[in-house]
Amino acid sequence: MEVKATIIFLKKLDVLVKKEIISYAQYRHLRCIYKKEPLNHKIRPHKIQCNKNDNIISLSIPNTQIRLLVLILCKPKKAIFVWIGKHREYETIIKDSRNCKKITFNCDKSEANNITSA
Amino acid sequence: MICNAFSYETQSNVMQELFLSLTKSVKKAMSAYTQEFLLEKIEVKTFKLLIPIYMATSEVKSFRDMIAVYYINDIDVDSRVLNYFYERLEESKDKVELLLDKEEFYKFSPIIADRLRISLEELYNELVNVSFDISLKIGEYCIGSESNYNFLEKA
Repeated sequence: MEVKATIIFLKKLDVLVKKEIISYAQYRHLRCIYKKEPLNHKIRPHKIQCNKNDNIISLSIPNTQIRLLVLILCKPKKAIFVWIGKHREYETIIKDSRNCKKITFNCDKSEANNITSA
Repeated sequence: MICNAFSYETQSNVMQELFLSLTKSVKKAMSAYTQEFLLEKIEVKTFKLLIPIYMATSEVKSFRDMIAVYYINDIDVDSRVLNYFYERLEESKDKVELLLDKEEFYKFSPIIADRLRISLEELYNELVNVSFDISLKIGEYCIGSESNYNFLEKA
């Protein structure tokens, strides 16, 4: 899968690294796992189904409180890292979109699989 | 004589005790009054603190509406503008987050601390949401067309 990132995302990543909240190595580890196995449980992929956009998945950097939001395009398979932040911010985003539900996401099946609790 | 039963010394002691008790009561009343007075002062202070928080929150809310309606027409120009907004919003968000986590904040009376916390949390939430809106908007715009997709960086 082709994975890209917005400039804003990369800037925020730099800030988080500067503040020593995460390291580039931890981020690269996540990116590596995601590219190879987007559904690997270590990165806890969840689809976030909102009114706004239903092609967003959330990922977690293992052993950290950092969450990533990825915009997905299934045909052709593309992923854009759009947002990165602390769990506190992530919770705020999820709470704001009142109808958001988290469900595991699989591009091949193109539909939701298991419903998991938030 | 009955008066003899209450010698001068005894009377003096009783008076002294009474006076002590009176002083204690007055002190207590004064302290309550002072506390109330101080609380009132803090109320005014809190109100003065709350006004800019409320104003900032409504500003961020209207900013969010503006972002929803305008942008993006030209990725090259608009993303630069949005980047600038994003950075400022993130700075403000970090400051609000620091305030929320400060222990001194809870030195205020519970009611005032609650009012401050709630209003700051609302401001924080608005800042987080508007930052997310900007991030998502740029992402959606880039994934939409091939030429804009090239505008993205390698992850």
